Amino acid sequence: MSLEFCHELLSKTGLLHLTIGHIIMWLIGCFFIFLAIKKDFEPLLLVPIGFSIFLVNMPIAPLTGPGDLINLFFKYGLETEIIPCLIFLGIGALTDFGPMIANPKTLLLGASAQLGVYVAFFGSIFFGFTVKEAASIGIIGGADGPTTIYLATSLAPHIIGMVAVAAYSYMSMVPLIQPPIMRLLTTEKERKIRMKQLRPVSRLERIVYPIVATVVISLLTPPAAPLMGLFMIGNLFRECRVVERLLKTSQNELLNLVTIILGIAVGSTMKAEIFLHPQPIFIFILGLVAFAFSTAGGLILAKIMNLFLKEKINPLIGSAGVSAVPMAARVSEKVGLEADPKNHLLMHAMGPNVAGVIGTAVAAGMFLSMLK
Amino acid sequence: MWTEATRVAIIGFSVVFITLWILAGSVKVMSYFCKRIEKKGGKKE
Repeated sequence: MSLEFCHELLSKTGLLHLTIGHIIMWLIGCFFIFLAIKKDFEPLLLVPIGFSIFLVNMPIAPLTGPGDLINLFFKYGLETEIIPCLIFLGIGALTDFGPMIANPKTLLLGASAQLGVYVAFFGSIFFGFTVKEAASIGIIGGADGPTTIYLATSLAPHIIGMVAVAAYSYMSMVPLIQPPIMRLLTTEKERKIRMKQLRPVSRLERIVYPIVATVVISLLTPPAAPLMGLFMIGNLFRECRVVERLLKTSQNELLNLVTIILGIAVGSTMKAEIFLHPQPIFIFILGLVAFAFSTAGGLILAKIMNLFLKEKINPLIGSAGVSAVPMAARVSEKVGLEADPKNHLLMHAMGPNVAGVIGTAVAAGMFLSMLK
Repeated sequence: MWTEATRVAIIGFSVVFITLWILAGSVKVMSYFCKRIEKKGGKKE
């Protein structure tokens, strides 16, 4: 009688349901938290993602079933695609398009830095993923977390956790991944190229730009309109200077709130029964391939453009075409300073950097229009 | 599957390039008109 009672009591706890898979996932969750706290790798996202992985791998805890708390975050935040779009609103409110408006040809560098998206797309198919999964993996190469989540939610929701973690992990590792590729693909002479100072951009141009960009992008790539539309509204808040309260909310409270929900919702998809397969390893390898080719794509186009331009551009700014803003631009500045300590490339690199955000959203929009 | 993937990649990458190229052109035109408007505004003042 007492033995039965003890067994019944134990079965109500998580102890009897605990598996080695759960413990491995706890360790993975703790590893992400460690990376965030100790190594400063995207802490705003890896802390909630890491803890969420830890939490959802508590056996029989009512967290991810229908109607449970974290399931609601996922259902209403990610499945409806609200959160990635709101994040774009916040990013738009933080983005300065001035360098890109001053030098619009840098938009092309943002386009060429999407090369890795398509290389990883083919690589994923080679490894046996479906076309929809391959698109969700390939977009990691755009180095844009919200866009990656936006696309994966629509095309391959079962791998959303893996692609999101791969995207954010590699984004935080931009300073480690990009410099060797940049040095390999450029000569010392090219790295020393000095670029003319950018012209000042007027307030009128800054105000008109979000409207022009929304028209062009929404007409040419309608599926990118939700992301780009909110991106540009956020930017208009910033540039019009008459909605200070909305701007501050978009830049701070709103962005922070949706980041918390995003992190928890993404982490909740990484349950032991889904994650512990060879698939995530392939996704991480393909993500790295995507990043490397995107970096190379930007550098190579900059070198090709130099064949035709009177005023040469420093190819190092091409690598900033991957969207990781502003880290990729800072990497261009750092590698440029190594070659010439007086050559500051940061502002020049911000152009392709923000162009990369647009390029990735357009690439995602095209995948959606052809595969959804 | 490979045929579909190739089609998706070629069309996708081309549209990314064309969209950003047209956007670059639009920004140039926008800047031109903005400068003209500002010049006119400056003269009136």
